[in-house]
Amino acid sequence: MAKVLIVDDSATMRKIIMRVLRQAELKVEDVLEAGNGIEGLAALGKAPDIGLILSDVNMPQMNGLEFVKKVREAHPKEKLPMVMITTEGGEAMVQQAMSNGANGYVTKPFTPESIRTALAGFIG
Amino acid sequence: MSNSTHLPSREELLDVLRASVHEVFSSTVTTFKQAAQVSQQGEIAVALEDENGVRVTASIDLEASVSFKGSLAGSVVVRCSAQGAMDIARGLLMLDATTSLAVPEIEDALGECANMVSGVLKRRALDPRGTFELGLPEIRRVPKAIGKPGGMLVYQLSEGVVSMELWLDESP
Ligand SMILES: [Mg+2]
Repeated sequence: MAKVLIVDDSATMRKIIMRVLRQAELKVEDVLEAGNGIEGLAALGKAPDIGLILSDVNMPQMNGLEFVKKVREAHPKEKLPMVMITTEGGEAMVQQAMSNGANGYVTKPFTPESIRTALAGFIG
Repeated sequence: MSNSTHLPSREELLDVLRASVHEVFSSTVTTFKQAAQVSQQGEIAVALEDENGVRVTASIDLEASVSFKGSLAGSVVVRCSAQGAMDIARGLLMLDATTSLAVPEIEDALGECANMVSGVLKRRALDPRGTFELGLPEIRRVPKAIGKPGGMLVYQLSEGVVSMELWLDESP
């Protein structure tokens, strides 16, 4: 069972992601939320047992590309998987996210299937 | 001096906009009753025909836009009547028609709707190589009349209307 951190500037999107996690019947123990990268880092500081991060890319204050880079300063890819959930999914953006340390990505709009596929290797 | 940027035709723009709207709403909400006809120009109200073929005008009360910038620049704009905005928010959140939502929740949902449509449009048509930049959603409660080239599609929702629009800036 994993503790999941969802980072997205849209409260609507965070709710949609939570619902899809439930629908996908993934083994999620608890869900924490943050509205941008700075809040995400703060949440991670308070809850070091977070086992998976799902992060948007386009956010105010600290975007997802910077956020993943910051997280990787203290948490290696193998220990804390990060999956980007983005509206863009362009080649350049995906390459940047992966080279900054993301483990995978999903494009919005998504289905429970695409979420399940993207997260299957990280949570059961 | 000639402008070397090829601007897509209005028909091409509307086709990609239609496909983008379809992709977003087919996987997130199911509230679209019918796609109404394309309006020529947007103002602060939209016109569409009801089921008896009578032309009705719906006011636009709320607007969410996401700008894009690359070899083309412009905005994806989602404009709704108050009822339409509530309907879209409920649809995205999979809530039934009796659930009421607070204004910030409705505005956030409309912003995310503009965000997703612009993302699909960018990925599918405008910017397959991924070099465009998308802005953050902006919400306006006092919509302005449209003066830019582009296109709009007006949809009848189960309650209210939504106008999905694409505006291009004159010079990128
Ligand atoms: Mg965002």
